[in-house]
Formats: sequence, C-alpha cells, structure tokens
Amino acid sequence: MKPIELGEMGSEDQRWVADLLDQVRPIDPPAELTSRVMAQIAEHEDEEDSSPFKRTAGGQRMVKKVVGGIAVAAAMLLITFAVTGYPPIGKGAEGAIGAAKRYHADQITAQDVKTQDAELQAFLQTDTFQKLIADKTVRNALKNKEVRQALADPAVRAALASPSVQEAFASGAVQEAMSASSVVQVLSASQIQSVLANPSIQSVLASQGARAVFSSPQMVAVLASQPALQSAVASQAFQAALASPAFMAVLSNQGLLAAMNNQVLQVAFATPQFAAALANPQLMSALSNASFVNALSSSAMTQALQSQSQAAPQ
Amino acid sequence: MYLDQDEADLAAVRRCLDGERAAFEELVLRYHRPLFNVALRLLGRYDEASDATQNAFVKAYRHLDTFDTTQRFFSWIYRILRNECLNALRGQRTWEPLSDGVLGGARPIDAIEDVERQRAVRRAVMSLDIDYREVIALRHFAGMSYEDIATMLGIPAKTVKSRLYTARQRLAVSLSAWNVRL
Repeated sequence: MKPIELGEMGSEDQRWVADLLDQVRPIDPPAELTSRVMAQIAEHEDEEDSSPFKRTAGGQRMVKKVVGGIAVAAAMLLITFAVTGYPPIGKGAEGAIGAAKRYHADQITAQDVKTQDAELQAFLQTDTFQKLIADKTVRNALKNKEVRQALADPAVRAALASPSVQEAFASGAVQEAMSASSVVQVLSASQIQSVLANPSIQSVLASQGARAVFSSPQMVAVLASQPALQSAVASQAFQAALASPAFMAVLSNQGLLAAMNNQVLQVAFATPQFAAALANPQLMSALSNASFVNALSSSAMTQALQSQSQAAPQ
Repeated sequence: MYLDQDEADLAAVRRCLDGERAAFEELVLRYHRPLFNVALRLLGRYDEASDATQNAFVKAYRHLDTFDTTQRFFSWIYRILRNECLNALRGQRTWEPLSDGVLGGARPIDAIEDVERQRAVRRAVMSLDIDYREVIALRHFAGMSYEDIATMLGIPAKTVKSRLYTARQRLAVSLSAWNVRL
C-alpha cells in the first residue's frame, strides 16, 4: 500500500486516525500505586512532625493544619476570653465554631481556667472549648512564646475585647473565611495581630465593606502567600491608607487582587516606598483605574519590575 | 459533569488542608489512571510512568496549600506530572516499547491484531515530538477537551487544535497500513 503523503490528507484522514487512537485501551497503572502514594505521604508527614507544613520563602514555618475548621486566631480569641474572663462569650463566637464532637485532652481542662462568671463557666463546658483545648494546633500556638506575649499584650487583649473585632469574627463571611487554612496563616502572623490591635483598624473592621474585603479568598491568598506583604500591611502608612474609603474601594478591586497574585508585584507592593506612596491621592486614583491595574499585571511591567529589583542592591 | 467533579475535588482538597489525609486518597483514586496513561504515552516506559505519577501525587499533596482553588485540580496536578515527565525524558536516551504483557485484557482470539495495532499506535505516538505527543495523549488517552488542554498547557485552544491536526497528519502517515483494517 502506498504510504499517504502529508499533503493528501483531509478530514477523513483526521477521523480515522482519531478513531484509531480512541480504540487504544487505557493501561492499568500498578495496583499498588495508590497505596504507595499514600504510604509515601504518611512517611513524609511523620518526618514533618505529623502535620503538613509549608516553608515560606523566608524559611518561616507556617502552620496550615486546622482541625475541624477552627482557626488559630479564633482559638486564641476564645481562649483569651476564657482566661481573662472578659468579655463574655457571645453566641456569635460559638456559632463560628459550629457543632463539634467532644474531644478529650489532658493538657488543659476547664478546671485550669479561673472563671469569673456563669456565662464563661458555661462556655468552658461546651464542646467548642473541649475541642479547642484538644486541638494540637491551638496547644502549639499557646506554647509559642510570641503568641503568649501577644496574648499578654494589653493592646492585643483590648483588640480582642473590642466589640467591633468580635462582631467581625462573628460575621458569616469571616467565619467562612476562617475555615480556610490560609486565613489561619494570615491571622497567626504577629504583624497582622498588631494591626488588629490598632483602634483605627478596629473601627475600619466595623464596616461590612472592610470585612468583605479582608475575608475575600483573593485577599487572604495574597496576604498568606507573601510575609513581606503582611509587614507592609502592618506599616503605619498602610494602616493610614486603610482608613480611606477610596483605598478600601481600591482593595476590593478584583483586578488589583488578581494582579497582586503576581509575585513580582507582591514584592514591589511590600516595599516601604509603595506603602508611603499610598498617601498620594494620584496613586490611589490610578489604582482605581482598570486600565492601570491591567497594565500592572502585564508581562512588560513584570519584567520592568523584575529588572528593577535585580538592579537594586541586595 | 465537570462542575460536579470540580466541586468534589475542591471539597477533598479542603478536607486535606484541614488535616484529613485520607481525603487525598479520593483524588488519587479519581485521577491516577488518566494521569498514569498520559505519563505512559509521554514516557513510553511503564515503570517510569508509574514513578512519575506517584511523584506527582506526592508533590501535589506537599504543596496542596499553593493550589489555586479557582483552577481545576486535574489541570494543576497535570502540570506537576508534566514536569516530572519532562525531567524523566531528559534522563532518557531512547524509549523502549512496552512489553505486550502490560496491554492486558486482550483475549487470545483477537489478541494478535489488537496487540499489533496498539503497538503500532504506541510506536507512532512515541515518534512524535513531545508537544504533539502531549496533545494526543491528553485528547485521546485522557479524554480532555480542547479548552481543558489549552488551560493545562497555557496555550490558546486554537494552538491545541492546530497541534492535534498536525499530530494526526503525521500519525496518518506512519499508521496508514492500519487504515484499511478498521
């Protein structure tokens, strides 16, 4: 049979080749492939202290395990309330946790916490508290010196006691967001905790718009992915900018959030110069402009920023 | 169908991130077969395809926190597998044909022609450049749509169609002997 030349083929040739390819039966992978994968994962986890961790660019280990969707931040909030006895636990905070199975732990018990009122005592008897104190992540967080220092900090306590912060934690959107491990990473960062301690930020958090912005998956993903951005958010210039409704509108711009997934832009945004530049109304106006935001995420801009950062002294 | 699958994948990913390791097994069971088959078509070696698939799943698990939930899980893990395969290909000098034993399932009566045809197809596919081999594997051995392939490879759907057309043209030349026997 004369072989077909390339130029002779039409759709009929395409069809029979496609049919021939589709008749090729899939080949079974090794029967033990799944078990091998799971065994290797288990082995890796054992080596990594039984929990999946990720190592950030800065070498900082960040906890990503959240049992039953309870965030470390929520745990810290509730335990702080339990330990300090103030303010009383509201229904909203309990609702954030949801129904949970009773867990048993011997590290901390309700008797270890001095109670100050009946409502608090009632909370200590709840499944929520039992689950919190049985949560390894929470226990580890409480063992962490920085966390304990943060909890001892009157400003942090004041922040946690603030009705606006509590209200924010009790909101449906924030509760939903807090079941995501990336939110835990963000809220566990000391920079973010200090931001929460800022009274002006508390008043910002009182607005529905701000809650929606900061609990959006895009914002959380951006903040979780770049510790440098967390530092940027903690800067005074950024916090001052947060008080501006115009900047809040900028932050809720999906285009900008998408652009901030670009690592080069993240680095650029985390610089003190950028935070300082936020005070400039012209920059604010530019960031509200869709064309400008599109330009930010363009490859040309990325390359330009990359070359700038490479040229900059280390 | 895809949307339901995506939802199920996303739910499994979330459970994994919440510490439920067993949820990952759902994803392995769901995707190990298509991923293995694509790896096999790219690498041409059973053991290497198996290793590449295993490594891809393990890496996916270890980096699950970086998975963008707006994407499809299969697209994401395929990119991991692809890197594994490309790395393996760099270490390969020549591909070896699969032994007939791994074809499996063929009964003695119809086995000979079936085995010969499958062997011819495998050889023809393996003779394609990697870009063409990949689109053939994804379209015909993993059943992906043009759009999904485009997303996975980061190329326009038009380019996918063009590559598929060229790949089939080349296969038609090398497989022309099988045209009359279909």
